[in-house]
Amino acid sequence: MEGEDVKTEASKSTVFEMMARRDRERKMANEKNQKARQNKTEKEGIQYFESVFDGKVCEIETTLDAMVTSKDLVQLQEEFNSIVRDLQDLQKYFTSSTFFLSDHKIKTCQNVINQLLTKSDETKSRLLPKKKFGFKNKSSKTKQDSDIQDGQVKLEIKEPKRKEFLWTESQKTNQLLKYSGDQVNNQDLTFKEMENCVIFINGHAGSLQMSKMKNCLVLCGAVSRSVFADNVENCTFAFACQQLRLHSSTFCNIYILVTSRAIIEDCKDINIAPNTYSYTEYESDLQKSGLDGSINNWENVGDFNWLSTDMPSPNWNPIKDDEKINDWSQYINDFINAQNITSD
Amino acid sequence: MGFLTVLKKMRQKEKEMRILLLGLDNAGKTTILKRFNGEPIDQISPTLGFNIKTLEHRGYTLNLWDVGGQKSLRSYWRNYFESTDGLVWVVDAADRMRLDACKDELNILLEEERLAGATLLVLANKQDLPGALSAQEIKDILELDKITTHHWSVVGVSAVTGDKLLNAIDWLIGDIAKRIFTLD
Ligand SMILES: Nc1nc2c(ncn2[C@@H]2O[C@H](COP(=O)(O)OP(=O)(O)OP(=O)(O)O)[C@@H](O)[C@H]2O)c(=O)[nH]1
Ligand SMILES: [Mg+2]
Repeated sequence: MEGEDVKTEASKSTVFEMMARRDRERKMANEKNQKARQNKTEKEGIQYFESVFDGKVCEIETTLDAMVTSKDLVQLQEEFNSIVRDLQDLQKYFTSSTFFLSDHKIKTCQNVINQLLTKSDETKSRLLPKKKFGFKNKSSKTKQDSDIQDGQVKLEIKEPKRKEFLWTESQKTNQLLKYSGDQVNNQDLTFKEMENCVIFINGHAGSLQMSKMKNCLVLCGAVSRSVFADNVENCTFAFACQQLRLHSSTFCNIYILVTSRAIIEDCKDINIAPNTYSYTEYESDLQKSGLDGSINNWENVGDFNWLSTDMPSPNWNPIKDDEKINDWSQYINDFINAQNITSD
Repeated sequence: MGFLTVLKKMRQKEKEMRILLLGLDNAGKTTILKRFNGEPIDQISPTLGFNIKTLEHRGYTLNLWDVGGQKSLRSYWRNYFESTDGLVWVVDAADRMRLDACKDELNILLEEERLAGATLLVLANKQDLPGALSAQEIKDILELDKITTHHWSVVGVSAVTGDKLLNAIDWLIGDIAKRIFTLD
């Protein structure tokens, strides 16, 4: 880069000015922090968090802005390492505080940290030459290379049993499907590209995956672990599970018992209610699944596209009482009749 | 004394390793972390940000970082790359739908300069499920044999039963230790 030295010299004075200003700002921020600590001990942790967070951000920024080229690369690298450690500490402090921060605040703070990281990266690539100064020692590099060659250790070499990608069922329309017993218990059930189908799953499955489902009714007992679904449209589901993960889906009604949490991502018009669907063996299946049936966090839906806690996500709603399915057998019959479904 | 040697000396004193767990959402990263740490695994929710665990294992201090794999979180992964000694790539071996995405995301990481020195451990998780692909099959699908830039290994594990998990982590730690603590 031309004129690099001149530029560096010239920018030094501005750097010092900036440092001085930043230092003043920091002192002011610190004073504010202290006041906050002394006078308002009873004040909420949020304010304390903000002042500490802002103080640290300011500090790291000041250090970054003050970094200049140096002949001593080891020293310079050390300084960058120390900044990285500071950033990691900041991230740790922030993470440990997220439980009392609003989602909006979480997003803002994470952005600030991200920007600092980017800035630190940029400064680093500007000041530290890309050449790997650690590999000056030729022999150790060759050694490293040969290590890599035989470093490909395989701990486990099983007989290659070519399993085709088997789905429990795929590409079916207007069908009634029933699964129970050993077909279900502890198994991973998978459905793909199903349309206008009714699927009964009685038992305790290990996991349940569904992809590209349209206008289906899926009535399932207990799933020991997660239910994962994407690209679901216009479907009604009922099940108990540990986690529900729903992606890229619209117009779904979900009756659920979820013992940890349900999350949605890129979803719209999702309606959720506590599970009311049941069958003779349901309670015993629930028990065998290992799920704690006394916990139901159906209302605690995490929307990855909606980070504000102050306002509820517009992408999902609890089903209103007068819109809930009360008579399941009636509902199932109507669905079967309406879809002109055949059982095979 | 080159910079790398200085760094190695520093690390040697601390005997500290930084290990990053990444993978698509639902792969079982948090479950693996908790299982490894001996915590209950039944109340685990999908990860909204990340978890850090520091634990002592075989005389080393392991800093384990478990970052959420949800699509909207993947752009944040890069924030955690710096000074990573080991990358654990967790695969849901029963997830037929997303093995392509899984391969793509891994390849992006392998090109990442800041992860260049890290040992790669691929865990073909959920082996307790009958439909899960074996470690061998996962190796073929992810084309791990093509990797020449990292030390790597693939192991079929189950976070639920704990099967092979400890062996796998021990291999990772051993490989890292060989690389960063004994090169004087
Ligand atoms: N059957 C079975 N289920 C597992 C295994 N490991 C994890 N799970 C289940 O898979 C689901 C997802 O596990 P998590 O640990 O939350 O996955 P994660 O990779 O942390 O996901 P994100 O936080 O979204 O990135 C949970 O329901 C786990 O109980 C396993 O080895 N076998
Ligand atoms: Mg997680």
